[in-house]
Amino acid sequence: MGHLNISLLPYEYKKQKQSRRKFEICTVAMCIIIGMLIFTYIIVRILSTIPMAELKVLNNEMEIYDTEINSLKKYQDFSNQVGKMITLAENAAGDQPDWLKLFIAISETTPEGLQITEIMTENSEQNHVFSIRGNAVNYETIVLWIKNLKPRDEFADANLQFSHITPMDVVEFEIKLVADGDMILKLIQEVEQ
Amino acid sequence: MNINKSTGAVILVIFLLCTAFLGYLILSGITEIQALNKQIEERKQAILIKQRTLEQLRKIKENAGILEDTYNTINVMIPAVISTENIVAEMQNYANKASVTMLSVNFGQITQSTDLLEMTLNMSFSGSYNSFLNLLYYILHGERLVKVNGIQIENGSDGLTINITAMVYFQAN
Repeated sequence: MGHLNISLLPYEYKKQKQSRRKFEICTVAMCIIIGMLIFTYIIVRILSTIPMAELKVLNNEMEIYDTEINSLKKYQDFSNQVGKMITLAENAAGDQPDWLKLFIAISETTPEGLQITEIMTENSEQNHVFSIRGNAVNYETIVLWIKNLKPRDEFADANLQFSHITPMDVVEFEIKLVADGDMILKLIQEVEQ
Repeated sequence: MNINKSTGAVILVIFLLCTAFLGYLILSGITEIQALNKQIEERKQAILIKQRTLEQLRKIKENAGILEDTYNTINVMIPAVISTENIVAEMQNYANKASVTMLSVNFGQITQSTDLLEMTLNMSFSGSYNSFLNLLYYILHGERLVKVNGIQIENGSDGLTINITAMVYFQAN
């Protein structure tokens, strides 16, 4: 035969007890949450010290670099000044042809029986042209000279302007020689920067 | 019962305030870490650039002697002082070394072009073709910057007559 449990406590008392219990549970839960939040905050603060320390090291490193860079700045300024002067010189006279190589090439290719009487240079923006006048024993000599000149690296083109036989039985001629654009005189040896 | 209710309400409010405050602190802490990490990346990039700059500067310092020589060379090539007598003396010296006779030297007007002063020079010489080549070598590879604009060579009874039109430069102060 089973027992029947009947509480003799008043209803209000039971309700109050339940409510206190709930309150206690809630308080404990809130404390746990607050505790967890405080713990998380402490962890975050600890973690933030690592990048802070790294940043401090990097800042110190940068300061060291800055000091050294500042101490060497005068060399940079000097290098810039020299560079500017080189540019000025090159802009002024950097486009002149290597006259010496061109005149040597002219003399090297001149065949026997041909005499140059006049060499004039004409400059244009595109190229440098030589007008060469002279006398030759015959037309073949002039043709031979032009054939010698054309394959030379120093010249881009060689053309006969005129030729005629004089009463003294010599062939007068004029040829135009166009200097190659790459035959530029190097002004200054490059400075390793 | 009434006391419990009000106490509960106070505790709840305190809890909410604490939660909000701690949440704010945690979030700001995380944001701070992120900002620090970003700064670290930026510093690392800046350090890399500074390292490269420093490397270049060290190289320039190593080549300071060459730079000094180049500076002196350019100062001789393009002098600051306009001195026509020096030009005549130099040309005469080149003519002597090349075994040609200097017939005349004429100076043109000085004009300013960018940061330099330019002066036209008309010179006449007489001599052989090989002597002329030597003269040309001395002029083009001499200490002074000379831009040869034109050359005229005529074969006369007394050898070659060589006319050279050139340009010399001075530093504009």
